[in-house]
Amino acid sequence: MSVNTIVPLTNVGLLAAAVESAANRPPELPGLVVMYGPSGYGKSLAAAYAANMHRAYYVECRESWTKKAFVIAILREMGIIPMKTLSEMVDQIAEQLSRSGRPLIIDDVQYVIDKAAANVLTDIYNASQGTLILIGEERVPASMARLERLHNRVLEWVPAQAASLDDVCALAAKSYPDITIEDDLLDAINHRVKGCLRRVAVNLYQIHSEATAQGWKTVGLSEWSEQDIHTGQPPARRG
Amino acid sequence: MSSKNVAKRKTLSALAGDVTPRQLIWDAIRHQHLDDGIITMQGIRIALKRHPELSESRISDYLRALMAGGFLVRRNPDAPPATTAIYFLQRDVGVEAPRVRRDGTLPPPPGREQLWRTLKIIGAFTGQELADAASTPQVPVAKATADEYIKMLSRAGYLQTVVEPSPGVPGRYRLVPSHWTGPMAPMIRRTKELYDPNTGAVVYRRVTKTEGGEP
Repeated sequence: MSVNTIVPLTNVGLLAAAVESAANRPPELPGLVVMYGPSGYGKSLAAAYAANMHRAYYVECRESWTKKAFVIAILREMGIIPMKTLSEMVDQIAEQLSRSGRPLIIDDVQYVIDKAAANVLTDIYNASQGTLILIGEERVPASMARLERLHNRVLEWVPAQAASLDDVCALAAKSYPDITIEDDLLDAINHRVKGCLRRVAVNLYQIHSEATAQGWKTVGLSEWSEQDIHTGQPPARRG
Repeated sequence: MSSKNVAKRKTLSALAGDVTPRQLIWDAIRHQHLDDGIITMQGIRIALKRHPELSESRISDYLRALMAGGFLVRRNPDAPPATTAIYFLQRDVGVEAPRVRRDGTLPPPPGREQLWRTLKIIGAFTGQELADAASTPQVPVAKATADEYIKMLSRAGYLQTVVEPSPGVPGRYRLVPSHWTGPMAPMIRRTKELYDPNTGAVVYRRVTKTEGGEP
């Protein structure tokens, strides 16, 4: 295979559409896009696709970040040598965002949204009027409600969706083209892990290893019982 | 704008890492734009006097491409011959020098740039997964390209192996966080060495064995 096709996952498409409309919005509209949802739903994959489509800058937040660490990380991502003071650095970021027109993706935003660093975010947005994409966990919209100045600049809220059967089929076909995993098993897995794409991937990996060892070409619920599905729960004690 | 204000704003962001010839020219243009808005070949040459390797024809090639792309505009197009050409920066797209072709069109971003950006975002990956995540409709990335890039990056110590590759099971890799050196993608050179433009260093060189031992 020489040319790759893109796995059409639901969340990848949702974020791509939202970023597309934010990047081409009329100037009077705000330019913030927020995607939120539990971990393992494929938010980072969606971020990677959106980032590649628009050559976006991407930073992943950490719990320990102060305002300054946050700002320096963004400048590092832009490849710009930071100036001395915080306000100079915010100006540098804003200038680069508005001049280049490239979006800024901030992943794991829940780590900074409750802290002083959140105000830097507002500053960057106000000074640049650029396209900002915030990605975080389920509670991000609630945390943002307290930041009125940021909250009303959201153009689109994108809740990450649980994996659909189509997503799971696409992932299985793409990752393990050498075996066929039947729909009944895929559906059972998706149901048991409640649509968490990362856990689906773990299950597919285990099924594939077993199938390779056993020489199975197709795997369905008859080969792989529902008890063997990995849900992330530790096994219950017996006896 | 008061003169005090002008003096205060005379600072431009600078790009970190290895600076390409085009980047040098772009920086010189932006500095002149900030100074008095008058951009001339002479001004650029003065700004680049520490780089004698940048010939006037190289500079004018880039200027012509920038004009074709609508970034630069000639201010005195009707001036008689042998008059100094004065340019004006019409579209300032920030610190990064525009990659513009001679006819003014913009080439799609290189697949390498997408691979480098993606491997930082998605965590652990196999070659197939990286190629998928890094592909866009405009710039699809083949699995073979991703595999080759992973191989060179892991030899240079940029990636750690999460799952060793074995027959039937593809290897999984992850970026060593301290090895994210900057936004410019390390490139594989024709001589099979890996060059990191963020640090300006060759980080891996394939050792070729001479047949019959070293002379």
